[in-house]
Amino acid sequence: MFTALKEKLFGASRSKSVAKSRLHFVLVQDRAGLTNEEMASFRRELVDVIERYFVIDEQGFDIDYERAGDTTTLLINSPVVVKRQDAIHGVAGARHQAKSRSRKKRKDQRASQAASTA
Amino acid sequence: MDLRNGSSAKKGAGEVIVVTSGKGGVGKTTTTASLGAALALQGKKTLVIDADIGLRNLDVILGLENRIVFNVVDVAKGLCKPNQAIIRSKKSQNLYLLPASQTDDKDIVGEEEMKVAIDKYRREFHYILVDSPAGIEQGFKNACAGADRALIVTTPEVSAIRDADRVVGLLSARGIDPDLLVNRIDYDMVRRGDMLSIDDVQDILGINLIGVVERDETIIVAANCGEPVVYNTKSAAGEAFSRIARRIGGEAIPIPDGRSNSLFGRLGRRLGIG
Repeated sequence: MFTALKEKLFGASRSKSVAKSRLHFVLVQDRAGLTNEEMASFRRELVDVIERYFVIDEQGFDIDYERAGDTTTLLINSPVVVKRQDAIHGVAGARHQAKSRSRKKRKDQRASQAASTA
Repeated sequence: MDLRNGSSAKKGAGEVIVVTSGKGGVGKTTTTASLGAALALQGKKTLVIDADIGLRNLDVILGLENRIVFNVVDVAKGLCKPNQAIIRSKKSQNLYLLPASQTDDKDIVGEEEMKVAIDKYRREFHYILVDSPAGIEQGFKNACAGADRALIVTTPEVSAIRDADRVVGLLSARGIDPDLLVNRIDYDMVRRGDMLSIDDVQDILGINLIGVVERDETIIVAANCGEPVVYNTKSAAGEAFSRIARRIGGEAIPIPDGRSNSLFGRLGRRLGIG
């Protein structure tokens, strides 16, 4: 209780979030079986393609592998910055269907989420 | 003769469950011994097999190190009869150990030999738990060879979860959908934000959670004495293993959420800060 109280007052310690993001990084690579370089170039090419159609915020761009049962899903999260009217048309006209996946913690500010099953 | 009388076993044959993890030191052997003892206490005739050839330890955790004559390699090579190699636990009529060989190399047996050896015991037991060695090489493959189900043991740490994830992939490739046991959770650290929570671990690995065992000193005391922790009714870890054993048998027992039951814990929750 006192630790909880302390957290409320002084803010929580963060090593768990560090663990999560480090795990996230190694698991995406382990599951995909790609090297660092391959992963970087995969990411770069994806960003290039998406940028042809959308204005994106590259900071929040994220690649993830998620497993549920015997299917592994490649999740590409790409926040879309919708500022201009033409960008909105771009979103509406896109063939990529934004699919909301089950991950609770991902219900965040990410504007668009394209999913494809690997 | 079929000595089993329960209904949970598959038609005519006991279930073989491999206990594995990828990473070493996360509690596979303790888990195998504890679940074996718990299943035996619950009336299931259970055999625990040490598949860690060259580095056997299940015998000392069970306190049976002085009674080994033959081992799993002898059975696989046909050097003894199957029932000559198994040792009955001092504490339970229902618990038996098939020890590993301590002097051989882990490559001395192959997957097929191991599978044939394990199959020799199926008819006599409700459950056969196979304690896998760490790693994903031959010893791991041998341990998985005859398995119907798998239990992956992990701790809430980056390295253990990463290795567990590898093993999930390897087992899926073998057509096994493993269950997850999270060992050595410390709920105080989780509350402080310094340990991954059960939800985090489950979320990352994406497999069915069969149970959670708290970090508990009684595990070390039990290992010192060679007595499985489930015989200690005051041990939280022992109780957790007993519940997991029941879930293995198909009982729907909820997994406790780990909130503190102390006065302060309850008070804290009343105040909305627990």
